[in-house]
Amino acid sequence: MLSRFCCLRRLLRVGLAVSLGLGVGLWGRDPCSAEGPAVVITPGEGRAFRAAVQTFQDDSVAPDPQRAAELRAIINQGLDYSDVLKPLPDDAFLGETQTTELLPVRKDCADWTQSGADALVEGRIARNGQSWSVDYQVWDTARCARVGQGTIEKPSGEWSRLGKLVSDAVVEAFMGTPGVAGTEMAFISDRSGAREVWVMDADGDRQRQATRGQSLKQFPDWMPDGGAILYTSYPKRSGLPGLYLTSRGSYRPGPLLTRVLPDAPKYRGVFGPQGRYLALVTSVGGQAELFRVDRSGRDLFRLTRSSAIEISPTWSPDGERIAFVSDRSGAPQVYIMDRNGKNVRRITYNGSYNTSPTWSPDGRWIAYETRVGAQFDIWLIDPAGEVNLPIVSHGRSDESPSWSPDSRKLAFSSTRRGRPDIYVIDLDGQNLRRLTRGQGENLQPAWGPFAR
Amino acid sequence: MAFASLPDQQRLADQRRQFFLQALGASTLLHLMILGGFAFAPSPPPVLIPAAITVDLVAALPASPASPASPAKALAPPAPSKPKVKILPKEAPTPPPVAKTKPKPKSKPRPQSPPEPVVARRERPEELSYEDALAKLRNDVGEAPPLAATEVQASVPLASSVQQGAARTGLVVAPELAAWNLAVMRHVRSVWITPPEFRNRGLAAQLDIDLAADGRVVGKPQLVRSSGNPYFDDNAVRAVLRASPLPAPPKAGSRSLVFTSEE
Repeated sequence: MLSRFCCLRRLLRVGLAVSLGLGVGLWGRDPCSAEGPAVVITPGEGRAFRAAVQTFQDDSVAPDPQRAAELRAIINQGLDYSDVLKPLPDDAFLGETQTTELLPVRKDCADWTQSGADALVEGRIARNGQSWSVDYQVWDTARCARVGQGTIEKPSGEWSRLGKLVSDAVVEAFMGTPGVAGTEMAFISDRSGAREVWVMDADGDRQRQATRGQSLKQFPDWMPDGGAILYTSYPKRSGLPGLYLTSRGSYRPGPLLTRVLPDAPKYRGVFGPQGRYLALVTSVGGQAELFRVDRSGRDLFRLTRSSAIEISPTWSPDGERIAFVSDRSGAPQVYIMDRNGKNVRRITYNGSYNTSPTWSPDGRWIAYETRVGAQFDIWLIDPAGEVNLPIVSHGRSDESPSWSPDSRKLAFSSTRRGRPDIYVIDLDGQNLRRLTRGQGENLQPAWGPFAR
Repeated sequence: MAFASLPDQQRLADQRRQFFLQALGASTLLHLMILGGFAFAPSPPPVLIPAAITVDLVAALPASPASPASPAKALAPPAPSKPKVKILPKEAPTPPPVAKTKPKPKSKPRPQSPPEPVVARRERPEELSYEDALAKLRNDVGEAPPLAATEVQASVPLASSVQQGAARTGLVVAPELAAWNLAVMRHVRSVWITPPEFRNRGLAAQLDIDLAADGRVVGKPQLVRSSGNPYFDDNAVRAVLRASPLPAPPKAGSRSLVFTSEE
């Protein structure tokens, strides 16, 4: 439209100018000065940006070159893991490899763009009592502009965590969405005897036990702010499954929703995006049905009412819809409904058995398990049910998909090496990583929110 | 009145003429104001000429081997589809027949680079009629149109397929401009890193740039229309700066680049 419209306007303007004899039509900046049609540029390659991470300056009392080098390596590993800003190889560096001073302007951007670096990361390490603090700056080398800066502080024992958080912050400064190297994952493992909730870093580091008690635990789910993990426990005494929280202090740990349907088994709870409401799987008259309830136990609302089994709820990121599994058609399939239980429609038609849906944090996909023969593969389907594609397929079973908070990766459990272990894969099927190995059965990964 | 003397009639006529002139003046002023408002109103968003249309005119030029309909498809990265995933598990035995037969009909590829809409848009009748109207307007005013599609046939030795394409689209874009547009699109695209966060999100940012005769981007790109996502906008600016110098334009001056997240 512009060019044509502009031409008309230009004609009009010339006409006006002539008729007035004043040349009024030709003053100022011509809004149509861009000649010809606009050049439309569609997305190019999806390759990652490159970040040159300098060795940070060590301002502590006893500077240790080893320390700064180690931090740099951790940051680079974190960038590698997030796979958005890839570390620039050392031999490509044309500019300074070492931060000397954090200045608000810089003159060497050309060196960095020529190195192939889209971003430059520089920083300073300082000792602050019992903790380490890191100041960092992120530069966009093409515009030669500082796009982010900040300070991150962690106790001395969490040196590697500090590096991962810096790495995630660098990605955020450049992309608007943080990296996921510093995120955590909850999962179920029986390595200590009973099935307990465990937590690890997203790269498999720091695997640690989060629950104890010798009762069977299942279905870990993060509070959206990362402050607590919800899980289902089957106490030996009553045998009645109930919901429990394990907390880092901001929430009260222990049983949840004890006054809601006190005699009914609560098979599973899943937090909505704000953490206020839960989708609850409980049993009514021997059938598993879905309810929605406030975390404090108020506003209990029944979502499904059928003679079939309804399980495995997952919220859309806006909290307006819930996908779930129902066998009302005769076999388990994935359905979507509004948050009030209305507008139920089936979306999966792959074979006869589809389950474990999880809605991606960006809302674009629902990952689910589909049964192929005697094992499961993981597929993606869009919420409209139009695009449906395999993402993980293997002769052995791949189950329980869980999204990274940036919607770029999926964690899942797989029996491809015998006993089930937790794996991570990029959405394009690249970068398969095994996070657990050789320690019992590891199941049901639940990827936590962005680290803070 | 009929008996009024000649001077009286004269005065009357004078008064009438004066009134008429005043009315005419007021009316002219009003018209000019309205027209002026139209002429100097802020400019509307630019037309998005799909790259495929531009391509159509020049794609079959001897120098550029791309076929007219496929460049968008050829340049777009392949959507992750079944074969890609299948490569991954190296020790995977062939999946049981269920996987092969059932999922297939529904396993459509991601609709990322569908060639169909391009064709549909190309044949939209209103585009043609608008062009016709514009050409007519140009004729009326005697403004020399840019090398029209019909003239291309006469003056430039083009492959017949291109002539057909040109005739079919009826686009009035000078071939050197079309070729340049395509070259710029390819060049900028090759350095525009577009991670998943910037793909198919309904985002579009328009940058106006000043180009020197050798293709260098002079000064800073101006963000004329934001996509609403500052990081997407930043990334577009970054791409332009990285892309400079662009292919030398037919004429130095200001140009518009529209970065769209749609593949």
